[in-house]
Amino acid sequence: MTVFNAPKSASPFPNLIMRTHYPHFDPQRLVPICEGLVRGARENAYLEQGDANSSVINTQSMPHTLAVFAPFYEWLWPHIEHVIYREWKMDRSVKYWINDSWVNRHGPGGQTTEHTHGHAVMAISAYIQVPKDSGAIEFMDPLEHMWRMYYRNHRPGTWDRIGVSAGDILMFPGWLDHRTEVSRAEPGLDRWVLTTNVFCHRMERAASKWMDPYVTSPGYPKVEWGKR
Amino acid sequence: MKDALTLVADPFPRLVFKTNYSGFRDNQAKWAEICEGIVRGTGGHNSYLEAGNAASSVRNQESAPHKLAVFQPFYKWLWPRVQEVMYLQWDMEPSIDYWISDSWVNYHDRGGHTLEHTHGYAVMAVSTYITMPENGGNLEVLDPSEHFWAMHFRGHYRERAPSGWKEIPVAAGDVCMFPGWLQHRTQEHKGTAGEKRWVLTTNILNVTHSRVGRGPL
Repeated sequence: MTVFNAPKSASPFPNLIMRTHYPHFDPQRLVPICEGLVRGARENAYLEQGDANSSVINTQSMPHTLAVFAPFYEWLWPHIEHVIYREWKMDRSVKYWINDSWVNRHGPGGQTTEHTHGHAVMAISAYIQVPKDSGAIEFMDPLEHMWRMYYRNHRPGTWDRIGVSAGDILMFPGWLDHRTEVSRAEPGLDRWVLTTNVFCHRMERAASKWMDPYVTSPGYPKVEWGKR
Repeated sequence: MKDALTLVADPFPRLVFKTNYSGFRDNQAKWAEICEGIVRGTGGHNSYLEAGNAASSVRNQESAPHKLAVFQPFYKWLWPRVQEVMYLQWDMEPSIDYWISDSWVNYHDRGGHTLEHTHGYAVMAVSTYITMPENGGNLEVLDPSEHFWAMHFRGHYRERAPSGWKEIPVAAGDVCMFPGWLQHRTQEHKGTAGEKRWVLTTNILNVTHSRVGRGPL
């Protein structure tokens, strides 16, 4: 059913997810480096489930600080600026920077569970290697609660899927809830994703146990007011 | 940086749709007269949402436009477009009955405007611009995700800081469709006094409710 002079979108609101493509990832060269980054993490991230690993704990060797990833970040930065300034109308007088980055591996059965990137202005998922059936990224509509008063074929709680290929780059606000599908790739075939956070706020952690899930922490760190 | 290098990948439903109906272009004086008559039918009961030199026929549902023969060509044209947005864009359940529950016309003369409001549980609200004088004021919709963006600095103090309110330019014949829960308002009519903007508003519902007594709207 499509009618003549059909209504066209006139939404004036910012688009949330932007996509581009980087054609120069070389998995043969990068995957051994990514494996090294994951080995350098003293523990896995609690968001990784099944056959999955993350280098997020390895803040000593973050991809954006390594020379081998420099061509990618040099290419990426104008795209970040384009989305931040032109799509999202962010303040140009505020400083933005790449704060942290990491790689995730998903083998068959592996996935990253639902999460946000908190106060990150932008989270970026860059797909270094994507075997067949290794799963898509999924997002939760931030307005889903508004649609719940109606009956829709899109059932409440349904995630919206975005299929990805090697070289795809997705940019979205840090507050947007997302997760990956479970990889159903053939054994031995890993999906490798490079994630990057763009910040404009500086945050310091009070605890030495960085990234421990709050629910399993032995106790909240003592707050010392005024100490920075 | 060319725009084409970064493409929109949002999988979420778009909220505001626009199309254009040509049937109101001819004989605008006749349409204005019909609308004046509908507003007079309220017996002077205006809506509290109308501010300044403005009036609404929302209290006159006995002669709501969708019930009048003169508006039938418009509603016959509108319905497939309503379905297009509801089913194809918003993925609404097609086994449920949807209908036009109520409709009304508003006028805004110089200084007049409609205040911020929603249409509650209406599946869709449709704003149709029968006449649109120069500087008659555009439609504004409030970004429902504004509270998420509030954590970041947006715009610049030297420029007009972007608020959650976004302007949708409208012209005579434009038909804007959006979910009933989306907050919206009109800009103030800053055009020539006596040149009224006439807007026909229509609600699409799939549920009913009853009012106790005849309280104010």
